[in-house]
Amino acid sequence: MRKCIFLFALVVLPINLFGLGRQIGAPPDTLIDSVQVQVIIPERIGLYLETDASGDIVVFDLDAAGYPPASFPAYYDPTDPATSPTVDIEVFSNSPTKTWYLDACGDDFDATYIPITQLEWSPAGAGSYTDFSNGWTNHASGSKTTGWEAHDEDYRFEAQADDPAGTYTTWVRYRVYAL
Amino acid sequence: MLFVLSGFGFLLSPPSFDLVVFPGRAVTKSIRITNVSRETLFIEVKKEDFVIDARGKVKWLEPGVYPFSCHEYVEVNPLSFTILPGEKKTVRFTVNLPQNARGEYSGVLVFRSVRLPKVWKPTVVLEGEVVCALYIKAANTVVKSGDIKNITYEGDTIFIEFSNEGNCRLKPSVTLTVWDGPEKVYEKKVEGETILRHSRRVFAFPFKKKGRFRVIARIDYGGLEILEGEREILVR
Repeated sequence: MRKCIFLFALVVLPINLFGLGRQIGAPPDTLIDSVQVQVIIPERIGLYLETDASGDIVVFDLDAAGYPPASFPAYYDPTDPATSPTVDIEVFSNSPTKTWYLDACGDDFDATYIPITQLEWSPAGAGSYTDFSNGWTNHASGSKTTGWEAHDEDYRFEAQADDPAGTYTTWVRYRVYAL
Repeated sequence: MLFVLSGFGFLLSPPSFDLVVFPGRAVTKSIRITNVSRETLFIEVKKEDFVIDARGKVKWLEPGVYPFSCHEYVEVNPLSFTILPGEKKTVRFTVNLPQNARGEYSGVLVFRSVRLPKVWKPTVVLEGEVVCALYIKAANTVVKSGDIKNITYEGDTIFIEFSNEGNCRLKPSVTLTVWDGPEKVYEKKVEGETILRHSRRVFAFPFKKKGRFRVIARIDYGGLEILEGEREILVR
């Protein structure tokens, strides 16, 4: 008898303790819980400019490119950087609702003789050139970008017959916004 | 995680603020700037106003020129700083509207980055600017109101002229449908365009079919009512 009780204790109790007994007796208890996960992606807008030119400035060295030309107006590509694109421009905007705009303007090289309109831009590789101007003009726009979005540009300089010799510098300004 | 790029550039967060402020109570907010280039950048912050014309073109103005400019009531700090590669910096601005402020005031903060050239030659130097727009409403004084002023057809295009007659900016949802008798022959929706207070906007919808049509414009500008305008056009 004692042996039977011992065997019963040895076989049945562990089964009860480890859950098999539950299937036979009480209904299963199920504990469902969840973990809330929150991801916060900030709304951001950004502009990135790069040129392969040495010294990070775009140079039109008309002497190296052959000046004067046979006739005016004549168009010169930059001597530095010598390859397209002249400027790498990238825009970042992750707003799902706002339209972003990329505008540009420039100062005159020389107010009397070499206005900024003698500098022209085109979407890289397109060859469809437009004058820069003193006022802001739109170069690109769009909705949410996929990461940094490229809007590279090529430049060329329009030499006019009355351009006086000299060394001229100007600033080209890019502005990105989403109003 | 940010990738550091080899040119020069930076990110702003957020690109705009839409604040409701109680007149007489100062509110301070911050703008985060992240340098994503390998260069140390010198950044200047300047205030500007803007208007948007009827065709949607933005015109930038000196601060205080726009009659509903916010800049008289906004203090920014710092106005210039350097930022190291990969570094994040915060610019704070404090808004304090006067007791007689009514409706919405707007303007922008322009963050201009200059990388000075390392050599001096005949050159074009690049400059980058990123804009943070500010829209500041005086609490409990905002009135939304709009009206369809005209529907016209000219040069293969249907134009809908909408007037913002309230004292805050609107971003209406404009739906145009064109009917040939009982049949709908055209439908297009435009939304998300900003129209500043007391200004107009002309929405253009290209339309080239020939015949007599009924044009219905429906504008939801977020007010109490949805505007609807109707006109018959003859396209030869």
